[in-house]
Parts: sequence; C-alpha cells; structure tokens
Amino acid sequence: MIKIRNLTKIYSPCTEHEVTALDNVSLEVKKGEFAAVVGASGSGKTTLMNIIGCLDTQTEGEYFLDGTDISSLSSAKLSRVRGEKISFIFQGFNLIPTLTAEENVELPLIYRGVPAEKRREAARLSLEAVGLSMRADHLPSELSGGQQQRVAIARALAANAPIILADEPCGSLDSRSGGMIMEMLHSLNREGRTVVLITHDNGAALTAHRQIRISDGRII
Amino acid sequence: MRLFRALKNIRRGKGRSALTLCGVAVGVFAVVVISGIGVVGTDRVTSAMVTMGINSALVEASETGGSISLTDEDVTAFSRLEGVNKAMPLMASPSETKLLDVSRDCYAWGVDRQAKDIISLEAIHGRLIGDGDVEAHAMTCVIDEVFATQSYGRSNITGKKIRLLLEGGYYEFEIVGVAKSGMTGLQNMMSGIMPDFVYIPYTTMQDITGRTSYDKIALLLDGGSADENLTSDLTREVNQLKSTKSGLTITNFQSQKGQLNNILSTVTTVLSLIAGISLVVSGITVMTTMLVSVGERTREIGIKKSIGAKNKDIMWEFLLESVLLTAMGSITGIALGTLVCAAGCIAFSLPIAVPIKSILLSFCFSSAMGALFGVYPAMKAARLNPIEALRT
Repeated sequence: MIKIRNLTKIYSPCTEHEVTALDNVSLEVKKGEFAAVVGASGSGKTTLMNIIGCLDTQTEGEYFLDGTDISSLSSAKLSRVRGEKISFIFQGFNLIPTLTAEENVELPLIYRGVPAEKRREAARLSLEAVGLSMRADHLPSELSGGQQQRVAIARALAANAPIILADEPCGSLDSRSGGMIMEMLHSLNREGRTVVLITHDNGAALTAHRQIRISDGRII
Repeated sequence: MRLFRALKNIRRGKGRSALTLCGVAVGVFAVVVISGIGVVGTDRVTSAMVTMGINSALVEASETGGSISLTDEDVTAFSRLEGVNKAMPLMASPSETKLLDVSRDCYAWGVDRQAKDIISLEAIHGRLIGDGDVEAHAMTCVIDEVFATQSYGRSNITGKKIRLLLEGGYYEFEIVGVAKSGMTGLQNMMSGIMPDFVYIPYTTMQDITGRTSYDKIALLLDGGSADENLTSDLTREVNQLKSTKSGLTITNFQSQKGQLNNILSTVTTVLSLIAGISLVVSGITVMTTMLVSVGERTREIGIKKSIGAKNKDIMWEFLLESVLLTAMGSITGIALGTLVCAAGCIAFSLPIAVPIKSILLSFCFSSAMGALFGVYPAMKAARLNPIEALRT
C-alpha cells in the first residue's frame, strides 16, 4: 500500500538554515496493516506523516501509494489522492469551528462531488458508528475533546478512504477518551483499513501490529 | 449549496461584512443618485423646451436681407413644405398700453388662432384669438398673466378694456383672454428682457399699421423630425421660394436643445465617474476584508485541503464570497438610491424617473469589482501550503 524508498526531506536546502528532517528512509506498510511510527518530538515523524499524507513532497527518493508515483502528480491530482485515499486524524482534531458535527463529516464528500442526499446519509451513518448521532447538530465548541475526535473519526469513516493517518490522536485527550479512540482505530483496521499511527506514546504504539522507530530522521 | 455556504461565511464575519457591505452600498448609492439627478434633469430640460416651443420655428428677414415682404401666399407655401406642420402669419409692433391710466411698455403681436399650437400660447382665462376675430378684424386682445396681475391684482380680467398705442394713436381693445406667462415660443425667440405681450388678430394689426405684408411667419415643425438638418433644409427652401439667396433666416430651438443636453450629459457622466471612484474604493475595502478573512481562516483552509479540497475549490469559495458581498452591497445601494430618487421626485413633484441604465451598470461594475478585488485574496487562500496552514 505504502512504499517508501531512500526518501530524504531537506527543509530550506542550500541555505544556512538547511535542516535534514528525513534521511534516506525506506519503509513499507502493507494493505490492512496497523503500523505505529514512534519517535521523540523533532525526530521527523510528522514530516514523514506529511509526506505519506501527500501534504508535502520529498526532496529525494521515491514514494509509491497504491502503485502511484506521488512525486509525479500535479497539485490538483494530489488533492484528489488525499481526498480519496487518505483520511487524517489530527491531535488538534482539525474540525471546522463554524460547521456542525454533521457538516464537518460531510465535508470530504462535498469536494468529491457526492450529491447532497447521499452525503447526508453517509454522515448520519458515520456519526452513528462513533455513537454521536445525538450530537449531529452541535458545533465543535459544544463538544468535548473526545467527542470532537470521534467526529474526526466519523469524517474519516464517511470519506471511506483505505488509509487512515493518525497523528497523536490521543495527544490532547484523557486516558479514558484516548482508549476509546484507540479502540475505534483498531476497529477501523479490523474492517480492512490500513492505519498508520504516529505517536511518541510507547503504550499506544505497542497495540499496533508493528512499530517503526524513528530518530533524527532515520529509521532504527 | 456553494452559495449557501458562502452566505454562511459572510454571516460569520458579521461586523466586518456589514461594514464592507455598507461601503459598497454607499458607492452604488452615490452613482445611482447622481445618475438619477442627471436623468430627471435631462427629462426636465426636454419637457421644458417642448413647452417653450421646441418644435416651432420663426422665418424672418435676416439683418442683411433688407426688405422682403412675406404674404399670404408665402404662408400657404411654407405650410406645404416637408417637415412643416402649420404656418401662421406673425406681425409685431412695439407699443404702449394704458390700463387704468397706467402706461406700460409692451409688445403687440398680430396672430391668428394657430398661436396656441405654434407659439405655445395657453389661455388660463377666457379664450385666445380665434378665426372670428381674424375675419372680423375685431378689436379684441389676449394679455399676459403677469401684466393682468400687476395692473389689477388678479389674473382674471377678461372683459376689461385696454388701450394700445399703435402707429401713434391709442386704440381700445377688449380683453377676451389671459394667457399663461412664461416661456412661450415667442418670448424665447425674442430672447432678452421681455416687455409684456399683448396678442391681437393680425388682420386688425394690418388695418391699424396699414401694412399688408407680414414681418415674420411662425412655423410648427413636425414633432420629432425637427433637427438641425431640417432647419437648414427649410432655410434653403424658403429662400428658393422667395428667390433670394439668404434673405430669410429660420430660428428654432433644436440646436440649443442639443447643446444643453450635451452639457447636461457631460456633467452627469463626469459626476457619475467621480462616484464610480467610490466603487473602486469599495472594491479595495472588499479586498481588505477578504484578505483578513483568508488570514483568519488559514487553518480552516489547511483542514479543507487535507481532506481533499483542490486549490480551485478554495479559490471559488473565497471568490464567490467576495462577489456575493459586493452584490449584496450594491443591491442595498440600489434600493436606497432608487428610494431617494423617488422621494426626491415626489418632494419636487416631478415625474418619477429611475436611472435603469446606471443601476444595471453600477450593479455589474461593482460585482465585477468584487470579482476583481476578490481574485487576489482567493488566489492567496488557494495557494496556501496545507502543512503551514495547518500549523497556524
């Protein structure tokens, strides 16, 4: 599913601020796998996630997503790949504050051109799946952190992307809500989705099938 | 759906959106009101000139023409020329009146019943000079309203007698009617400071003065066709009829009307352009608002991009918002401007005129401004790097 070979990412190349965030990284995540990328802050794990998530492009090396060479794609095609293949779960939830829970869940489908009727149906089902049907009309500010993260998971569900990239999904949550979110990620994985969890929390990482440890931009 | 979301975003920045909207509305309001004044002004001038006798013309001997006598045959011949509706003999004589022993300078005109149409004479009391008066060489007259009020303190003085000094002797006339004072065709063609006018049958005037010819012939031109070409054509034709080169001249108001309208439309255009600058200013306000909005929503843009929004999607979102904002502003401005125009027309009891052309123009112009000044912020939003946007 995800195939990265000899990938290097350098920020501000050829200047005095040059930073090598990823150094000759190679890794592979198979379809249906639950992989955890573990590392301290500043180790390059977020850079790795941005590249896997097609938000950023590498300086050198190759990245194939589902057999497609990502570095060859235009910005519009990258957006499309993001919309169709990848769902993000962020530490900060990243819900749009002015939209209700249901509207937030619908959003990825809007950009895919799904008709309104179908969108609403998908959003309703997804919210039900995360147990938030009762909160569909609430704004993110009216929800707790755990509930907001569940809305984000519902958004990923509605988008129905094969890959879920979770960047410290439990970072801002108490342990009970965090546990609930982890459980949901696992159940998504059991349904056949590929999950890449990025975390500095060893406990959470250990629940994954495989741990990829990263330090100073290198996989160890 | 897109439109609905754009509206929702506009509502979000309530205060700021409202202020921007006001800016656009004021700009459009200014344009609409100024062009409204222009339209009403032009209408007024045109209608004033029609009552002033825009369609009448005066044939007379030119200053260099010497003595050319105009006769009944000429009246008939002139009335048959193309573009001429009616022709009337006209005699003029400076005179003096005595009414209640008060002497005043006046100007006596010999006319016939066509005076009503040709020189826009209008009776407010009694009647005008009719065929009967002309045939009977009657000692009847019609006087000015101002003259009547100044001598009697009221305008209705029909039936009173007036003494007119003509050819060295006083003649008594019966006042059969009082004519509305003001911009009658003759008063205009005489131009300058006008004495009071007294109208008598032209036949009576001929009897008293002993002249058989006429001084002038007044023409009523066909409405609408009266332009400068017609005037010069007619001048040539009347000279041909009288076999002179340029002994006769024709005066009418058509050219003056054209000039006046030109001045008016230039003034209106210049003022509208100045008001148009306010539209540009409001366009810049829209841009500022949208830029602030992009700054505020950077994170949101990042989120949207991370879940699959293309640059195009983001671009349209902001562009639609700015166009909608200006469109709403200009509709408000148009509504207010039209209201003020209508209220002004009612207040000055003028016929209500709405400058439709300028309304459409300013609406299109300001919406185009919204689009133009919205493009930069929208592009800026669309080009945001999703990672940096998410980091904010």
